[in-house]
Amino acid sequence: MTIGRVRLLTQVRDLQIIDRDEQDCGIVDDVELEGRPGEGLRVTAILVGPGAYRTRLPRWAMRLVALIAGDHMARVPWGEVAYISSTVQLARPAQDYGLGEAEQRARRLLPQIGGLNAPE
Amino acid sequence: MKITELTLGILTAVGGFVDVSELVFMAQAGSRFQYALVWVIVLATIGMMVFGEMSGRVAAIAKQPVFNMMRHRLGLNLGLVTLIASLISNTITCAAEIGGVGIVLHLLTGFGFVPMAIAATAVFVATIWLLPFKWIERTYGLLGLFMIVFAVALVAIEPPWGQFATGFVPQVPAGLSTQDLLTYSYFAVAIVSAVMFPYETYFYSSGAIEEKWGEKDLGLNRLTTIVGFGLGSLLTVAILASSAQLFGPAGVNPEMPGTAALQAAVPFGRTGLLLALLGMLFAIAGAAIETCLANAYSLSQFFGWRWGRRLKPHEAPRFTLVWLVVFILALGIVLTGVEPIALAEYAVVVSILVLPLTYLPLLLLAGDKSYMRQHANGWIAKTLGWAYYALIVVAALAALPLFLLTEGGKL
Amino acid sequence: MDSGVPARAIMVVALLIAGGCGQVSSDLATIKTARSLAAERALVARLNAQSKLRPAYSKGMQRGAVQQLVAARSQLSQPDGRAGRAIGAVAALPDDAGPLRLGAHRLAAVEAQRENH
Repeated sequence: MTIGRVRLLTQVRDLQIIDRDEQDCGIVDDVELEGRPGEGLRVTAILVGPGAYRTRLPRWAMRLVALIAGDHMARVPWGEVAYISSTVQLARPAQDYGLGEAEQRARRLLPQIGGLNAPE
Repeated sequence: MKITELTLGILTAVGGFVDVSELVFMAQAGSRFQYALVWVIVLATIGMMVFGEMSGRVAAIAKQPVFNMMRHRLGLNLGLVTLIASLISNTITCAAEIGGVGIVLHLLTGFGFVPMAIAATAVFVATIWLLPFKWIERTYGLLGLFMIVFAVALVAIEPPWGQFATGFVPQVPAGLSTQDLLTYSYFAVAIVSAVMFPYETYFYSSGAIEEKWGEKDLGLNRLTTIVGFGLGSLLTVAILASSAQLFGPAGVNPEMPGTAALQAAVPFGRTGLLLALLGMLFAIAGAAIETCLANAYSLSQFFGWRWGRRLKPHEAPRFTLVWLVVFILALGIVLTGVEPIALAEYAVVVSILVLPLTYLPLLLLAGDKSYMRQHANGWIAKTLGWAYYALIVVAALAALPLFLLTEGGKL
Repeated sequence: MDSGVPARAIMVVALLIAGGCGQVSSDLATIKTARSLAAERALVARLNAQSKLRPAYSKGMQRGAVQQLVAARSQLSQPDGRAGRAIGAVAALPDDAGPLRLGAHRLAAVEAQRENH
């Protein structure tokens, strides 16, 4: 459910996404629309991940991004968007949408220093 | 607002104000142009207060750090350009800081520069891995208060106070040749860049979110930026003024970071020298950590990754990997043998080019009532914000030509 | 909104920066640097003689200055010309304030001559 009217491209695209537990889980990298010329357009999903940049960046920039951040992409159905304010909040945890897999892969690269973290 | 929190916040801002670029440029500016550039420090500090306060306020109310806003306001293309430019700028700056710490440790202990730079980097990694955010900032900020010896040393050497006071008046010294005028302008731009380094804004705004600032922290934000940055800038003024008094007449235009410490050695001997070196060590070390974390914040916020030291390293693995890689890259740059002073000069030039792109989204969002409600920019913040923005754009356009025409201020 | 970024313009600026940063200093800039390093050596030597400095600091500063002087000489267009020999002479001096001050004065004279050319 959204508050009021939103401009999909200027207000929603490039917003931070948080999941049901308010954990950061990506940015709205693009918005998927469905429809035909002469008919109404319907928002069907938000696209998350550097793979969504393909239509937004020149080829050389896309190669650089893929080098740093990969080129994966997750598709989150528009119906799963619970709330839009200064962030886009999803209805369920990030894992349910395939978000956060890159974090899992990165976790395996970190040195395993058991228990050695400062209490917050 | 707790008085202890406020006091610690201000003291941390004071002790953490100076970094290796400020040490180098203030000392050279004073030696070359005596007190004639003091007013530029004041001007740049006010600019830092304006944008620092805005970034803290936006973090507290809109709960948005700078790089989230950057991408949302500038779009992906321009946001990506800004991201790449700031990553490069911060990495070079981080390398300059690590090199500066290596030199100071070498001068303190007599051990080789390379082992000291490597050991320092290892300590920084351990600091970030082990300490909560608040204590990362406070440890180096509070220990950086040894820098106060520079202010005390200025009083002790009894500069011509009347002449010093005239430095606060905006001016261009009379009788300068064309080359000297270009060099004066270069130092003015370099001082603006060194005081308003973008990494400070990224770190400050991300830190405000790490500490979960809200509406109740707006007073703390305002006092920290105004009082903390104001008092911190007095240290840089002291470095410039002491240089004018001691280095200029001796024909010294400091070419080594360690030379600044002589300002405390002249009046106070070995004790003064030790205090100055300790102050430089912790101030520059704090800057090394801030520049590294600024890169991790920027990259993570731009791509929407989990980020922050409020999370354990394994809870924000990509953020953790980024800051580890930045330290490795920065140390690698230092180990190529490039002089830290040269790195500091490059950092200052690249950073001023990034400033207009950094501050524009901040200025726009801080004035947006739909996010900021009654805490959006009032007429003072709006006027000062846009005036300083214009100044930054002019400085950014002039920076590269001035750098080339003056050979980095050497002519 | 994806702004129409002039990517090529950004690349040109980036190349200019890289070129500027990699630029070899002119001889005048190098001589000025060397003159300052000589003056720094003299100041450190003077303060050390007054027992105002710690030994590790004094040694480290003198060694650092000598290394930079040697590097400066090699950057000159004519390392064995008048300026190069003056820089080499200062680099070879012991940590003694008097001779170092004289060496700095000689470099200042070379600098003044270059500036008036």
